[in-house]
Amino acid sequence: MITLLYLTRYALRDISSKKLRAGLTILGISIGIASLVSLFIVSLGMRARVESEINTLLGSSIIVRTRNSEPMSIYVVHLLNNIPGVERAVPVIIGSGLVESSNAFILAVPVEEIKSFQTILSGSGVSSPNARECLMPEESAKKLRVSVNSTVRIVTSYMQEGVTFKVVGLSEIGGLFQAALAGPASVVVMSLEQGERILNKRGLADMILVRVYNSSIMSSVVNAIRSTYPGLSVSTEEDVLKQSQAILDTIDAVIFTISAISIIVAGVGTMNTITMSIREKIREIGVLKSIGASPLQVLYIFLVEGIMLGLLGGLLGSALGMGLGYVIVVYLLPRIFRFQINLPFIISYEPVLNGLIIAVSASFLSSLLPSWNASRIRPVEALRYE
Amino acid sequence: MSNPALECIDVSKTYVMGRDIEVKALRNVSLTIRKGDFVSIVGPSGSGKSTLLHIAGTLDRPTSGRVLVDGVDVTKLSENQLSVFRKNKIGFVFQFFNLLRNLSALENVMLPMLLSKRYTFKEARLKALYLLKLVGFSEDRLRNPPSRLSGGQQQKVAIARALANNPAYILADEPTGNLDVSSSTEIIATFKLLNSFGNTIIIVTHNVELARITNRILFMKDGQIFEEAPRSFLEGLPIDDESIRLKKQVQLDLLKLERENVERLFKKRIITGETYEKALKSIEEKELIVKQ
Repeated sequence: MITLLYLTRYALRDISSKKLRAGLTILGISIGIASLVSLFIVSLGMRARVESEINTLLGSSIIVRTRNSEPMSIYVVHLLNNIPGVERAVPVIIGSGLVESSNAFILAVPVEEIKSFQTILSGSGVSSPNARECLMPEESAKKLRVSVNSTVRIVTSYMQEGVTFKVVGLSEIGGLFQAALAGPASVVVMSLEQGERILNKRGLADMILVRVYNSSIMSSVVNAIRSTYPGLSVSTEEDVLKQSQAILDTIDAVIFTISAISIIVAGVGTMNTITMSIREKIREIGVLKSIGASPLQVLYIFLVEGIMLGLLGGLLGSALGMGLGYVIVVYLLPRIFRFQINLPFIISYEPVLNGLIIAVSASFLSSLLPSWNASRIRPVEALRYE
Repeated sequence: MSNPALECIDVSKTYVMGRDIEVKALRNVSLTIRKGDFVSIVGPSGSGKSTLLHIAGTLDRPTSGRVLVDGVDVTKLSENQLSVFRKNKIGFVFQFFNLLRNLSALENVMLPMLLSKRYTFKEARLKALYLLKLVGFSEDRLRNPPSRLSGGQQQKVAIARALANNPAYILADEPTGNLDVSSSTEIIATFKLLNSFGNTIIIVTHNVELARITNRILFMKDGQIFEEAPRSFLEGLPIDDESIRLKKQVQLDLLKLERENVERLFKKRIITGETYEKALKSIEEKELIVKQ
């Protein structure tokens, strides 16, 4: 034990006697780890954001569609309302058109449900089913330069000449429908009746949101719908989350591949440092062996040196990565894209722990080969080395 | 009669350079060095001195022949066994000192003891202090790294380090080759003193002064060894009586520490009774030499 401590001290002094080289190696490792940690933080934020979006929107609701995504009869709403446990089935019409000559996503729901889809920031909701009134997310409104009480012209393929709507309210930016379906396009929300008219979907619904009384009976309601109406496709918050997880996992894979490249580069740097350090110390290795250090003890010295570089690089990299992640999430992402991305900055031990583990194991692996070679050097050759 | 410290029987070493050029560095060398001997090996460059030293130090293997260190045939040991063997049986002193530059003078002497795992940290520290005192290393420089020591001081540390694990013999390769005259004299005196305390010392050297104080001079030429008649000790050691008396006390302290260490190891069953008996006997012998 004391011997190991002593050898560790020997290795550490070796690092501190070559501050510049050790510093540069540590910097190299820390850059790799910083990129990994910061991207990890972005990914964590992304996941948290998507989860909370889906949760706010769906909560304890079930999405019902037809299997081929064709619109279904509004009659299905009544059928679903009769299933025990269902609080309310809400028909939704989805379509696309032009608002003030720019692409827009049209969402039509019963008047009394509008408020449950989006939080209204200014103005009011739609007053009656037949009023030609609509709501827009604040950001869409900004882009189209309209405000509360101004009028917009909405054109669809069934209403070539267009219909004039009054913007009565602005809702919160984003929302699942914008993020997942509309992307950079604008969004207008109107009453179901107006949607039926301008999208020519009288008596139809593209999807039905089913609210249940409480989430504990969700699965039994889902099973009831599935067994009673096998022609319908039913998805819950969980299913949607699962789908979005799959997408996020793909994004993560890309992120980690990119970081892996920088970590490999850092690993090669560590390997170089350890190799150089050994090259310089061949004579010392000879001396160590001549005074009785075993191959394992020589191996240990250089491995400790490598791992120490990795650990320091990992610590520095994690700190830098946290900082970088903060800057990306709080300052960069909301500004650099055409639409705002607001992610939460999540402080978690996970990215730091992963960063450290990767840094240490990468430097361990990359110093293994040169250290092994060093431990195999025959003392008589090492002592002859000038 | 106990085993000789080193016994080389019919040892040859041939280096193969290129396809069919063979260099015979050692030709059927036979040599016996008894415990307590003080031997120098002299000879022109290329005579095979260094090769013999490396083989005697188990750093290299002979092409043929047997090498017995303290009765153990080392030609049959693996690289790992050899590292254990070297640690416990052989002390090296090099021309270029070869101290570990990241460690202080004291730590350099402690390292072999800690590597052997036979000493506790405290024991190793105390023994290192005694050893450094014995070789005449100035006490105010214990914490200095080798880069802040003179050549003579570094060589003293190296000698103390070589003594650390009570080797069967010390091998010194041109120990004064890189030193000025006054440091050389000190080192020569140190070797003389250590030998007078019962340590077996083998020196490879060009330095006639150094060779002359040894009790046996071996002459090497063309890979063969020639024995010359033993000489009487050089008159008048460059150490005064008072300092010898002090050094004797240090040596006795060292042996006392050694006895305590061996007793501890025996009690904890780290060493066998046989080893314990052997170690005790060797300590008693050494004490006797000092007290004479």
